Amino acid sequence: MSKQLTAEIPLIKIDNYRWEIPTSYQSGMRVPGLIFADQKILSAIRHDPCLQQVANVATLPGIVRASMAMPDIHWGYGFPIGGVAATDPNAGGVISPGGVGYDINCGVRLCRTNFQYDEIQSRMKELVGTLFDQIPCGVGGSGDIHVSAKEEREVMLHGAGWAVKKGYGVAEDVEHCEARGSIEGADPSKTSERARERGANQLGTLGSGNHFLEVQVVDQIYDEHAAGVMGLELGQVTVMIHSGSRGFGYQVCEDFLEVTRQALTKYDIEVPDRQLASAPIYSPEGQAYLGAMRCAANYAWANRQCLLHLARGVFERVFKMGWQKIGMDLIYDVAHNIAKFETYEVDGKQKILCIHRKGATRAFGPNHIELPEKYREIGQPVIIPGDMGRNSYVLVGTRGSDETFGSSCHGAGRMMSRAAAVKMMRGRSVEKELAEKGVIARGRGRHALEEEHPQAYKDVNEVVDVVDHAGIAKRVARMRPVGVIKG
Amino acid sequence: MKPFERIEHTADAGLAIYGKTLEELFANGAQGMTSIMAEGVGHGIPVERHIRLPMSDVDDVFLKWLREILFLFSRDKFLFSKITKFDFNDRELSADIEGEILDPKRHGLGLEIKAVTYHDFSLVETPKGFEARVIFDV
Repeated sequence: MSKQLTAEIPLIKIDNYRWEIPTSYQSGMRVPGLIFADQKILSAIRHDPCLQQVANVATLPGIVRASMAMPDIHWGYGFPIGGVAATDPNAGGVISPGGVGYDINCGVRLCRTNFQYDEIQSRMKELVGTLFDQIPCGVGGSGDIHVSAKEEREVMLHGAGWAVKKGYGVAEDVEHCEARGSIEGADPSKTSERARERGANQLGTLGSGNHFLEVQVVDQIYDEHAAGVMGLELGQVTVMIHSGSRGFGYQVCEDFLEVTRQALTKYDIEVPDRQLASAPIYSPEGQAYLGAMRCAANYAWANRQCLLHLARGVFERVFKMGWQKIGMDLIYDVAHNIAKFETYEVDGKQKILCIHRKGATRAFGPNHIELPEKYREIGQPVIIPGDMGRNSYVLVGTRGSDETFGSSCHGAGRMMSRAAAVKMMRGRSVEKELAEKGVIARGRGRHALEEEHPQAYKDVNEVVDVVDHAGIAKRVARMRPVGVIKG
Repeated sequence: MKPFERIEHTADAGLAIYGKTLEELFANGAQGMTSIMAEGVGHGIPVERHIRLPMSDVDDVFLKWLREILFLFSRDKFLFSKITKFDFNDRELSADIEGEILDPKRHGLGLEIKAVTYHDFSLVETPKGFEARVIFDV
């Protein structure tokens, strides 16, 4: 694979927040690349070969409008992380497992509480300690939620709905998930036994790496009205959960990378990087992947629902009152690794397109038919996690997001390798440094906290600044972490 | 010769793996990958597993081998420690391996590996034997 440095790739400035890679840059590009970044973020991107990946994605058959990159873009596998690509099924468009990623429907959910931080500050150590004890996280972590083969099928078909039916939540939780917590068209017969075996004991587990559960406090409100609709106010405590489809989804991706690699030859698809393996949407291979991918997406929604259920249980235990009384309502749950069919206007025509979001969050504007009644008027809540030392955000989608096929950024984006972060921290303690900043952090793995050091990430404030100024999504509130658990 | 060493990747974990023979390369690859997930392996109650893979090219078999080891961990919490029998012929790779079951009280926990990727993968013969480079999605 060519690893051209971003610095050598021609970029045409469209405005302060948009940059184009012209199709003339590389043969085979069917559409231009479109990067959302300001000058500062662009200089960070220049240290990473990800813009070459933006150009490579532009060669996919049936790609429409542009191969897009959000400001948190970084180097991925074939697709850049922070990439958005829409393909037209009726114009030979393909579906690519790499355009979704290994962690299918990795995503984030945000839950509110009635607590003001100063009311519970003295209890934080106990709260974080109990969360850390009760919520399975880290390598090989398995929880108390085991499912039989028959039940796993229900998880694949009904996602968060399965969890609620089991008593791990309430009907409103499902209402407040993207796609109501399960996508139609899931086909369990397209998943391998291996995937199902890997998934059988991992429901209600966080995982490791950048996954986390955070207790946060709202430290800025940008849009009083939208914040009010979400039930958020200054000083209030929130809970954020970041996890995905666990071993089940990883295996589905692995299985179908192999299938679609073979499909490249079968359907005579030429791509500059074999990790862009893909199959026509209207092909048996493409349809099989979609059926399996949706099972994994639904698994992930069930998983995050189970994790929320566990977190509510911990709050109940620590504060000795029911979670409803604590006001632990789910604000929203979004996927940031997924492919979905959505309708957009392209060249004056309404088209159903396959939107690949690889490290990008859906950001539907107001009045979108898929939004729950509660958020119709303000637009979809867009939840953007940052690193554990700085901030996280909730935004709302805008009409402007039609430009990006209803997509926004998904986080801060790494800029330092794990090895470099551990090296930088030698002789220092992240736990101590975070504690000095008022964050109680617990990590399961031996370097879990070092590897996830805030300095290993871009500043999420700058990333969010770009999407806000570019008009893709608007800031509503900012949170800062006060308690973190990490695998 | 070092059996393996970590290589840098912005978001993930990579390994350079060395071996005088293919058997050594395969063993070191499996050990290196296991060392990302857990430390202190090799002192527990030994558990045996068997891996059998149809022959294709060496690159492909090596990646599939690592994926088998990852699968065994993911399903059974099996941590690889060594190869006890290694038969690599024109038709298949057949290996008996030994390891132990993860015990969080005894093993230091590392990172969960989501997948063995194709990203920047290479396996080459060198004057000293073999060298492979693999990136893991974590």
